[in-house]
Amino acid sequence: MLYINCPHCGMRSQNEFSYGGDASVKRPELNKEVSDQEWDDFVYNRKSLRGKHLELWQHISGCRQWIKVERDTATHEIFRTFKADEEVA
Amino acid sequence: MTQAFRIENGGLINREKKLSFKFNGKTYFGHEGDTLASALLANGVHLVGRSFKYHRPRGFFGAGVDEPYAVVQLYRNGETEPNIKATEQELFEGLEAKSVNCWPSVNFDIGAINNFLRIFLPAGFYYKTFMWPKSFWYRIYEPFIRKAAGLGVASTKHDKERYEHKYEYCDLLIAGSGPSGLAGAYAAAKNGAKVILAEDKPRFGGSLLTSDVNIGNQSGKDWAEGIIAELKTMPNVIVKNRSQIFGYYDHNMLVMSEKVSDHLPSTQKYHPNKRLWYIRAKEVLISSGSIERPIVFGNNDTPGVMLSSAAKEYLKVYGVLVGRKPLVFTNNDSGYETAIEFKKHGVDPVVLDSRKNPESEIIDEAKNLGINIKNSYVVVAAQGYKKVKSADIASISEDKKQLGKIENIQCDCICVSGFWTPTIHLASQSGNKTKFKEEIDAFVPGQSKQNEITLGAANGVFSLEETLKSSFTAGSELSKKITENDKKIAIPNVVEKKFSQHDKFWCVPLPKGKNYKRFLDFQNDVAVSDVEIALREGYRSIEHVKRYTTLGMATDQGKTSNLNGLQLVSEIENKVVPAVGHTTFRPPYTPVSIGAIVGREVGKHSKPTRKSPMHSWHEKNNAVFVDAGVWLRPRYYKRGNENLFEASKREAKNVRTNVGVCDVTTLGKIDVKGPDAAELLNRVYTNAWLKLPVGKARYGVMLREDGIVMDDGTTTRISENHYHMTTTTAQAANVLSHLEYYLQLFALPQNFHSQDL
Repeated sequence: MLYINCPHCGMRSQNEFSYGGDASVKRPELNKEVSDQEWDDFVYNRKSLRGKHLELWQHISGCRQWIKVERDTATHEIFRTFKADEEVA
Repeated sequence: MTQAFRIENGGLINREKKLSFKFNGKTYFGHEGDTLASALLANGVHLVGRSFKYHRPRGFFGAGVDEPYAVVQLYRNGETEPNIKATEQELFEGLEAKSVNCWPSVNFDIGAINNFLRIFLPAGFYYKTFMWPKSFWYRIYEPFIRKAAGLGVASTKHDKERYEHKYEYCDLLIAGSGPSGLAGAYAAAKNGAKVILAEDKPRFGGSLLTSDVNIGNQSGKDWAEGIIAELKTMPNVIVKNRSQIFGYYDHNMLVMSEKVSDHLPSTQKYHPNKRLWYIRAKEVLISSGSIERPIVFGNNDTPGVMLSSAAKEYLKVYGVLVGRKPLVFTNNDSGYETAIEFKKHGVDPVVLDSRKNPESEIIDEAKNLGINIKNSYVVVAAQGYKKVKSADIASISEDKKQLGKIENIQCDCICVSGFWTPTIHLASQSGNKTKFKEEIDAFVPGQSKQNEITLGAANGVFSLEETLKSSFTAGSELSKKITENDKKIAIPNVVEKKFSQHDKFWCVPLPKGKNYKRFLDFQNDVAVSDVEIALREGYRSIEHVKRYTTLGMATDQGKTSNLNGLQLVSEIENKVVPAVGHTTFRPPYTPVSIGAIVGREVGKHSKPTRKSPMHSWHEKNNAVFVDAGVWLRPRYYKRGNENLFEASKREAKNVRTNVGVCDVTTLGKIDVKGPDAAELLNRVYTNAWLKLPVGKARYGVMLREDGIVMDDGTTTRISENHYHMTTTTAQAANVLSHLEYYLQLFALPQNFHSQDL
């Protein structure tokens, strides 16, 4: 079971969280004209990465905040975690 | 019946307390502190079951977790549990057990005909034989295989026992209470670290219980007792026996199954049967020891053939002789320890050593005791059907290819030692890349992946002195990092015997004209010939060979068979063992009760039951309820002998002609407040919300980002910036997460607040 450092609460076990998908996907700007391809990429097209991956988790049984987790999909190592509004460099 | 094979004195059992138990309907007696296996052996019972495929008679091979054969169906307090290892089950008053995999009885088993049909049942016979005609599969082959296969029978009754889950955090978790575990625990505990020490057996001490050593001028056993007694008084230490750490998972999470009640005739009030511990450890010391491995020879599955370490444990821990005419077959010094124990109790063993001219302190001791030792000698085959009666033995050439003239000698048990295999399962599960250690012909842990260290015999170190030194040091160093205390502990002086080099010999060749079965995997009836077939048929990867032959599968997970299997594959393939590699070690290390995994979440407790405030009115009006998520909703109100259809017609008619009330308490309710509340609703629903008049409600369809409908419901505008949203009963939690996702990630409306009501 993963051990995730919630930026709001500290180290918590995986069973307090729920997974929320790829966090590196950018939602197209609201007031901009969006092509079908762009929208398709946003809602459907994902890479199945082996290695470092930025993903969304929600601390559902804790503070209920959505957070970003940088994790290796092969080794499950967690490198860094971020608050929802933090930009990931 | 008398316990004819129990010695007068000795052993760690409580001789004051006699216990009666039943095996296959017959009453026997044992003592408190016995296992079912030791009590049966004390009564001279060696035949406990039939093998999986050929239904050959099977006895006891080990004395603990490594046991491949002796699985029984256990009856306790009106309940039954299948696949219990007799070597692990502690004896209690009134215990009942039966043999499995035999019909009509273990003494006369019809399935044993497979033993004579074995030429038709080689490796992979399932895949070859049951292919045609196709229509036969479902009606004939599958039901037949299902009936013939499998070991025990699971109860179909509701399990009355209770199982608990527990979460625990610690600085240092130690798996195994042998010399390494005790030293590591003691040093870390003295530094103030929070320590958990887990031992799967009822008694602490591991190999110290059976080895003839001295630590700090005490016997190994007394030293272990002293350390455990002191650890138990320390508030920063949890010491657990009957507790098996069976899995090493991500981020240093280990799971342990504690047998709280299995050793008692019935579970005490308010106690669970088992407790599953989820332990998050900062550091882990794996001191799981090693398991003796067999040497492969003809009919080596005959009851009475067992590991020499097991024979020694039965004698030293339980005071039981596994035979009165023992033959010890060894390729290393460990066999001599067993022989010496026999001799001390007035039994004359014969030792066959595959080595030509071994020399060591312990061999000298055996010689001085007058033990009959034959060098360059091997057991070719065990003779006897339900019990070893004699052994065919022969001298062997130095290259181990040629057998001398075959002689037959009388014996009633064969204690075999093919050196030791470190128990590396936990290290490997943690992601440790194991490496092959040439000097011991076995794999040991290599580079650690998580915060784990393996020491002692589990790391391929068999010297007690070295083990204690490294473990005391590791316990100090690991705890120092965490607690910043640095209490120096003097390492006690050790008296032990030095061992000479073992012989890299693991399989006796077949004599000319003989076709004995030589078993590698005793639990699954996999013989040398089966692996040869798999390789001949083109299976190369060790993972494929495992699956085709079933080598190393099932409840013992190849604890005694893996390495010999690898030796064989490497020999045929003309490769070195590390080039063949080993199959993946997966949790659990030993079988875990399904009940323990499920815990308290069974029946009514599997989920909360939610009732609406009108529930009693529904009940009064004879409602038939339906589960809607965690809620109970009335489906219809039954009158007289009405069925669903008739009641629905009556209720619909009443609504059309009069009035109806619908209880929608079960819907999700989310309060949406703030200046941008309408904007948020616009984003998630297909409809527009800004123009909804205050005090009015509107129905909305909620979509996901990809346009799929995720929910629907009505939302009411309570005031200018205050909406009250309802969701469907089942989707309430998901809708709340969905709203939080928009709020927190896209920072859309700024002044917003939602609350699950």
